[in-house]
Amino acid sequence: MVSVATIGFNMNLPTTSEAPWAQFAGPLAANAVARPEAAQPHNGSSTECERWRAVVGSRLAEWQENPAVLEDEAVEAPRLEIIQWAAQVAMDLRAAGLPAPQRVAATGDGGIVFVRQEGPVCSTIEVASDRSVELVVVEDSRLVSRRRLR
Amino acid sequence: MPTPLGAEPIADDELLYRRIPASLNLYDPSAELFLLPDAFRPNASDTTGLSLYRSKYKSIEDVARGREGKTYYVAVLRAGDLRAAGIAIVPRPLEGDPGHVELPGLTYENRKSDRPIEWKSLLALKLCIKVEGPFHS
Repeated sequence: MVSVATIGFNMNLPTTSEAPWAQFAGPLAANAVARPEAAQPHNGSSTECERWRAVVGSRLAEWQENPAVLEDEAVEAPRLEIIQWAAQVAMDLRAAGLPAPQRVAATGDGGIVFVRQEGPVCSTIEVASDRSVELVVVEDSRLVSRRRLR
Repeated sequence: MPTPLGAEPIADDELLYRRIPASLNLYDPSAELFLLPDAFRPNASDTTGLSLYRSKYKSIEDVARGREGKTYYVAVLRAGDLRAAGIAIVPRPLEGDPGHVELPGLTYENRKSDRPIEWKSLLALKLCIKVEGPFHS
């Protein structure tokens, strides 16, 4: 009998049906901080809370403090209002129980993007300059799904 | 009539460069997910295609040069890899800049469409050979 390991098949890599962000159907509840149950994400993991705090408390806080650092040639920097909105969205995502993104970046198009990769699945949640929030899931560079969360 | 400088076909083994502003956090060498798809997002001036530069005509340092006081990285790709993935590349030399090329399938107008989203992911996660820098302007 041939072991699956010998043919290089990694049974541990998540597919879109297993990656938490890819499964999130929304909608995203607004103003999670205002709700008492939002104090702790559904999965209750303090590590996950710390990861979300690192995202919001680090990059986004830095950019809220000094949005001008994002200005550059051929770049549309996000307005302060959008950076603040992205911070709120991050708290709402955390309250919805999603694991923290691995990265947060400015899109160069006036928005902010949260990115999480799980094996071949790369999911992005973009807060655009028009305040819309969209989840896009790509697996092996093939678009699997996209949906507006707000 | 001789072919204008920079208008000759791009060979498969040519390296192409894409400048990435450090401030946007699209590249983080310390992260496992070090290069994000939006590093290949067209901006408002990419009306006919995403801009890249041919290493044949422009040094990596010249590509990295941008706004004074800012820091940049440069993503390196191989022309043949893009073509093999179905991404077209066309020479588009500019006045004083023969090394300018474009990916006509990735424009500012179509940047949010499905295929460009796939291509951004492909460029960042599979086709990028390496990222050089940081370069300080």
